Amino acid sequence: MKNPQFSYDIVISGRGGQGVLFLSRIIGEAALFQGLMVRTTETHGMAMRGGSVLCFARIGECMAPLFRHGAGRLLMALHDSEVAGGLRFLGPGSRVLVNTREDPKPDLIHVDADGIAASAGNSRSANLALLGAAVTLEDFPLQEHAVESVIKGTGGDRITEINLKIFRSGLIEIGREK
Amino acid sequence: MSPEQSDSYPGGGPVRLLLGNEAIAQGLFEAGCRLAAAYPGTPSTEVLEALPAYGALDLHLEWSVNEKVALETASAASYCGLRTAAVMKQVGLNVAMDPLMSLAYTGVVGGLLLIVADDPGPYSSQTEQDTRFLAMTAKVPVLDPATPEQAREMVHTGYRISEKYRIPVILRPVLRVCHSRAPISGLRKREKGKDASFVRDVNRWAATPSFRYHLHEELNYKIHSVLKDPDVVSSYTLSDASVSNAPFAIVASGLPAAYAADILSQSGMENEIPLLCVGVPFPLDKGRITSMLDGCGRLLVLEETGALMETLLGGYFDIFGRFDGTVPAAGEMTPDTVALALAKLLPEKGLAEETYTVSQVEEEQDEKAVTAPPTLCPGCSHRASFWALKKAMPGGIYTGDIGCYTLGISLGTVDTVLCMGASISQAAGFFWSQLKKDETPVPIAAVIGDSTFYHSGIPALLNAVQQGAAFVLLILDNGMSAMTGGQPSPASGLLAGGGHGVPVPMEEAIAGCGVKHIKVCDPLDSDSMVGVVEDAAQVAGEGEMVVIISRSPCALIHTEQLGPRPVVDHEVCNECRICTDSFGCPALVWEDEGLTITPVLCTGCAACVQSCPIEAIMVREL
Repeated sequence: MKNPQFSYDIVISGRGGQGVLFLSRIIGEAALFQGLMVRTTETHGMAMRGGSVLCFARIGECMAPLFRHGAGRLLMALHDSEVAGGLRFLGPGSRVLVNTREDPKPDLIHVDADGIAASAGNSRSANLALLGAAVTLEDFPLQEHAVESVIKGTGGDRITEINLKIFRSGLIEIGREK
Repeated sequence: MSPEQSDSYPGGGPVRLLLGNEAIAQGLFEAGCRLAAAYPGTPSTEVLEALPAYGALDLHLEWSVNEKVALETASAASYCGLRTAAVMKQVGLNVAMDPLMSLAYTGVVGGLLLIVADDPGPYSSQTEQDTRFLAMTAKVPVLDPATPEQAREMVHTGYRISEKYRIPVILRPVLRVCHSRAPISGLRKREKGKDASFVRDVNRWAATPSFRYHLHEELNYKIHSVLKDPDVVSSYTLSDASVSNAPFAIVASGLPAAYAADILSQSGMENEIPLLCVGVPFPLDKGRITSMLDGCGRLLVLEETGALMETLLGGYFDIFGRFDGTVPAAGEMTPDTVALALAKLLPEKGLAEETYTVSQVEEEQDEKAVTAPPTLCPGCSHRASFWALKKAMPGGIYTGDIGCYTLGISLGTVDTVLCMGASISQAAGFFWSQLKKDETPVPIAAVIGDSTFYHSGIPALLNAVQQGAAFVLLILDNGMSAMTGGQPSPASGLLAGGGHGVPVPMEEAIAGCGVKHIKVCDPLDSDSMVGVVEDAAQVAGEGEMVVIISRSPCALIHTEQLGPRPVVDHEVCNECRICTDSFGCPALVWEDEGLTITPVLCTGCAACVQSCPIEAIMVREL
């Protein structure tokens, strides 16, 4: 079993153009804001061409940006066809957040992130609804105020307001299901 | 920023979360680099892209036309005593090997750092080649960073070594170092270098073969001396585990050293297995390694991508590595590769079991798993160009090239992809092969992008024309290197550091290669495009070279809506699926009600209209 002093390892999966890189960036900046060690990976080149994209974020002590299969604690899937691609990195006790409108299945936490983002007025920020949901998980190392402070630094006033709303809606949707 | 202003950067400042490539750029700025020349290529591109933000007015930045030109340009500024950098991906170094081999002999004055990003996997390249072997071939030192933090420090180390021994130095980050982010400490004050001055020395800078022999002896002396350099000596770090009691020791360079460190500490074995990390894998100090690991005869060698240290250490130790299959001989090394290698040597530790813990939901999800392959973007004009080519020259041989348009494979119009510029030379080779089908010559078309054409297509075209080859050359001109994020092509005249240089129009370059038939057309105007390609095929069939410039901006960069979205008449559509199977724009999807055009993806280019044989897709005039 993992030693708790080591990193909290996250897999982010999605398709090119869904904001996988943006999400890993927000996670990294929020960890930095909290004074935590963090490493994230990005996919460039083909990532902009609509293919499957996997990114990783490690919060806590580590030297490499990748981790072993079975070491991941959380999978954030921005597309429901991209769940399988990330599962092999997860270990016992891990959680899966998936952006989908389908009815919830056991072991997966479903978030209608696209729906939340569209109704708030920025379809491109569905990833933030998923991050809002992640913040409600008890072992997730990032705090609500850290993520909000990073979101506030990312765009113009209007977009920032919408993005904060999407992030908070993710928090509320999962809070209600609990 | 000018050097005089650099006092406003006292060092420190905020820690920033930077990509490895951005950390390298920060190191270049801090070290006082005065000229950086690059050709874009994944995973190296962001190094040069990150430099303009530092605003150093005394730093010349350029996207060179190719890697050879980049290194040659940097070499002369280094002769003048300036710190310089040439940046490229690993296959780019193949193009720049000619100047590198010779530059190792002449040596440098100002520090010259050759930054070459390797792509184990490979994710975005033709080969998995290991740049460290090319460093050994050229007899120049190579630094192998494990993390973005180390990559930034190694820029400084590299310049120190380069200037002290007057030798070019290679910094070789791998993709996971280039494209991972880590906290990087605040900016240091930019070093103020010397003013440029060139000291004539023909026996060095213009050495004839007899002097080259002496320069080679000098190079051998330099590379031997580098081994004793304090920066190189301190790059060998050994963990605290006792060497004499260990079953084996790990010798690792670069990113695999980070994987090994993580796994040893996470599994509580950091005091059992000694880990020797090597920051400079060539030249390798075998004596130092044998003395540091005195009493331990067995090694696990972990390195990317080839077996360089393993080769050099052979005969000194019993080695587990790539040669005996402990580590796979191809593919990216990952934490799992390292864990499996350790598991083979330490079966009692249960490392392999932990590797494949599966989630309960995996089985169910596996059924849904469809890994989406990369595709041409929605609205990409390349798709329309390929469609016209297929329609106008059916049954032809289509030689392809390096860029986004390699993805034309899914349209059936890419038969070969070898390396930069080879579409044109290979088309000539196919022409001279005189292929025939039913007694008729097979038509040949070469397809190349604008940036690749400037990179190495021009000599190939000149050669084909001069030899009398005849085929259709289709240049897909979107005005930039699109796959790497939109760097300007020479035709735009735009410069890497901002501002305008002198545009070099493509038509003039082609005419200069001796081509008599040059057509320019818009691929989104499909009827005329098909006609142009048909005419071109006719002319080529009569023995003349024809070049078609298919000109339309990149849809990824120019995101404005081009026109009204086409609509589908479901009464007419017979679901033949040619539009999705053969044309394949991602905006076209099958829903319960039939074919639909996804509004957020559709750019209104209307190229799909021509793909429908029965006119079920149409643009309604408003």
